[in-house]
Amino acid sequence: MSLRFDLLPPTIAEAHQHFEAWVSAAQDVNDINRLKGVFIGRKASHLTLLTDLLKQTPKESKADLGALINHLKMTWETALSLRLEQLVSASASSSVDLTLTPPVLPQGAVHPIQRLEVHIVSVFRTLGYHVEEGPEVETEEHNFDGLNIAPNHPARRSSDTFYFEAHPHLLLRTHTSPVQVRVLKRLSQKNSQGVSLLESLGGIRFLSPGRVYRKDEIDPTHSPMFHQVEGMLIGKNIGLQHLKGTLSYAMKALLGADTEVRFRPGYFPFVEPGCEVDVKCPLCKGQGCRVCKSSGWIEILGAGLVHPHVLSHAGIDSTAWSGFAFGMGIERIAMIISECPDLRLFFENDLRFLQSMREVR
Amino acid sequence: MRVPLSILQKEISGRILSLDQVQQYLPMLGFPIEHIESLSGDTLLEIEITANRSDVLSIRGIARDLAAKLGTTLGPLPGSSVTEGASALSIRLESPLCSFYAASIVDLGSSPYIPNDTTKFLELMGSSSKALASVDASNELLYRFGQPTHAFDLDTLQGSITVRLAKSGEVFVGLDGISRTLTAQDLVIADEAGPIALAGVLGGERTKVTAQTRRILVESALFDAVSVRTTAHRLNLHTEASNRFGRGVDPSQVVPIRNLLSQTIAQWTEGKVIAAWNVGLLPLVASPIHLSLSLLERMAGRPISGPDAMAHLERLGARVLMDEHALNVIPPSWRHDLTQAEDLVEEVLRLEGYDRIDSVLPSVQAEPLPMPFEFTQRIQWSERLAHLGFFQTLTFGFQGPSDETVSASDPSGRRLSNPLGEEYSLMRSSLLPALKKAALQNLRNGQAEVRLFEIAPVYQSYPEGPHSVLTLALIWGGRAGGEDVLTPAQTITPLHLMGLAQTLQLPTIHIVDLGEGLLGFELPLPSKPSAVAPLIPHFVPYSRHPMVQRDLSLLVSQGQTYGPIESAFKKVLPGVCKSLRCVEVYRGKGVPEGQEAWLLRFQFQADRSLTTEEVDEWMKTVVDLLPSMQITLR
Ligand SMILES: [Zn+2]
Repeated sequence: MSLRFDLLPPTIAEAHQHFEAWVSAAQDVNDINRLKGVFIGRKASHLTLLTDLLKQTPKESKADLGALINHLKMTWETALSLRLEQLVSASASSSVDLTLTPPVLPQGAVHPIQRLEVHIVSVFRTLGYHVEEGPEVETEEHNFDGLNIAPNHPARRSSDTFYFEAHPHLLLRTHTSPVQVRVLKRLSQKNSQGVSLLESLGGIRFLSPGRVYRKDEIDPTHSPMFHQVEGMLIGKNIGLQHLKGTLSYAMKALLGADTEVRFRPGYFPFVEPGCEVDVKCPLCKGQGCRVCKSSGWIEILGAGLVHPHVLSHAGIDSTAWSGFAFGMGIERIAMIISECPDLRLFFENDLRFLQSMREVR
Repeated sequence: MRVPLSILQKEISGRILSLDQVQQYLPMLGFPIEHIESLSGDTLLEIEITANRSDVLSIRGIARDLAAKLGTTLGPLPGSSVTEGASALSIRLESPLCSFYAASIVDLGSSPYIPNDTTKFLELMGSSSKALASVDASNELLYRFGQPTHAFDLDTLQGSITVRLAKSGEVFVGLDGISRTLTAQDLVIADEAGPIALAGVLGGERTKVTAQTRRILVESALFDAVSVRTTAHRLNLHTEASNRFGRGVDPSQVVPIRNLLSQTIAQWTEGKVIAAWNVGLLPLVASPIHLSLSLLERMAGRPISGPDAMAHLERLGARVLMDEHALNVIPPSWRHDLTQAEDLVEEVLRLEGYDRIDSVLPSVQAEPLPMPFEFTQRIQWSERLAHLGFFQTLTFGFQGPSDETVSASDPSGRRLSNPLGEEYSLMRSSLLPALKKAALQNLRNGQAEVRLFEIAPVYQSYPEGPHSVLTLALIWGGRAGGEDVLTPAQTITPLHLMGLAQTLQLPTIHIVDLGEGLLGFELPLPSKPSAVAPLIPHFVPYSRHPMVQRDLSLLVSQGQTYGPIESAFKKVLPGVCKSLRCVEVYRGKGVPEGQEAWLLRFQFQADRSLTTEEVDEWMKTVVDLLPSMQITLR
């Protein structure tokens, strides 16, 4: 139902047109009271005038005019009381001592380890990586066998890995690498036309961040639980140059554009060739210090080309497909960036620490 | 691995190797230098060795890689003139775990001479001279060449020697004087009176060499790596010998080192090598590995010529046959880690230098896949709660039996067989115990208010193993406000948590009173989105007409709850009553004893302008209800 403003007497119509301007021009309570008197006062106001007018209006327009009067009454009342509140609170605030302690809205924080995790994920997202997550309770097959880790490898011992009493084949994953095995096995599955998921996708690139467990007592550099980010890319004709290109880009995006990256040989059973990736020590800028053991470089991640055994274990043809994988410890990078020397602080959840580690804006 | 620079230099012929070169090349070959120090006029390097490279557990092994990188060669092993003959003592290899045993008998002379260089070298290696030629010489050769050897006092041996598996329960007394009970998996060297050595791990007390020893039996053998590792691990007995045998030694060195050791001992003591003989067979040469140049090119990212690759591999000691497109490579006897083409690619690239590999971003045709719901949800929840003033915690996934609640699933299905301690023995069924500990610690540290949350899996026992459920837990407690001129201090109450739940649009939450003023709740997060929520919701027109507000002040008796009253009011009010809230509860001056004053706020809004009269009418229906509720208008 539209309002019939044409029923208004011209004087009131004009007054209504100026109403808003007058209200915002009001500077104090007196101004408001004056406007109240003119518009909605009990005597000789525009409202009383309209009420009188309603009585003389012919039947056919009575409903329309009534609705219009209601609308105007509400509008005028609301606007005037709102402006009055504004003026009252403004006069109150002008008398406040602004040097007093002000109330600050509560600020929390996402844990620095998760913030770093999200940042790493976002860096790789720009390269088209998505996230694949896996469970913390894993099988020996995913955690060791599928990663070409020998049956008698020391890492499998109960002095290094947590096992479950009632489920001897289950363990707490010691790295995020079992997600590689899970994803590769899924990719090797074939559809009814005999085409594997990997073939239909044309390749894959993903990150898997998460918690991992090792049987270490808690000390400044060890913790029974910490976080890793695993990364993997599978495609055609992938070589070390691609690993180098990817990680050089990522380390610069992560640690700053002037980050220098160095690749050197390393050993992990699930890659071949394997490499260790160092960054120029951010503390001494390569001059050599205590943190980098005077070498000028800090080891930041392990990587390599995916071992053919890892692909074939998952049922993927290692002559057709190749790829690289890498893994890094999030706490380790957090400690390098923040120069925080004690790993335990990240798990003590002391608000003094969490507040100090809050995002700086 | 400790490496004195002077000995490293001695192994490389025809070139003086500077410390700078060593520092530059070793890390790039895969052996970072942990530590460098000057000691006794030499430079001692502490080098990190990767687990797969048993051949570099000797100074000569490290020198070999350096020489290959520098394009030079190793000096020859020191020669010896020991000649082999017939067996001088019966040695029987009963178990396949020992395939080859080189022995000799040396008559010790009377000279107590041990070269100063040897004494100094052993000290640099963190060992020390035992003032016994046969022991010191054996140790020196172990560190320099990686082949562990042992000398028995021949005159203490009883009858013939057998290399066999121990009898279960058999007792062996080691050089260290400690008795150990063996199992049928342990390989021993035994004479007719029992074990005289734990093969590849430790010599025995009964037959050990002393200052009185006149004749020795020298042992240089091949023991199965897994067997040595298993025994060393079971007995927690990790020795220099077990460390090397456990990863595999170089079969081609077994005889030369037996000879070198025998002759060295004879020379030092002015004695004589009486006999030298071998039992068993050395392993066959490994079969060739096919390395196609196209695989090398694919992995290296650029073509590397056959002759170049061949030259690198030959420098590392491999024998190589080249055809047009491939190399056939027989790895050297000391490189047990080279078993397939990819291993050889690494060797070629190691010598080429990883720094010479190009840096290229791969072009992948595959479309990026979406992010998983659980990940996105975890990140969104944490950011949401952080913006509301809560701090995210990280606690370990374990808890102790005392943290278990009655409603939790059977803890035995979540129990670790080897926990760090009883309080870490179960995978947790709830996040609240750890969160509470963190909250209490913070209160003790003087925090007035704690707002903590964690998002992590909790576990439930199932027949097939523990299942995880991603869970959000939150604790709020202590005293809020009172820290500035405008915010009054207030104790955190369950009503605060109800308000938070409403803010977060959570369904009903179960608030847990954790004691010490801490309140919390925990809820499982969904593993799938409940519905596909659009980024921007569907537009629903809202009223542009003025909102009418009415306050009602009521007197109620204390103990009366608000909820049912609100429901009763809402029942009689029309849908245009968009909001009804209790905005103030007051007791004290002006309110009769046993009663309290409630200020209720009603807000009305419709798709038209409401009249005073109709709003008055609705308020009257509410007021009419009051007498039946024993409530009066104030
Ligand atoms: Zn440094």
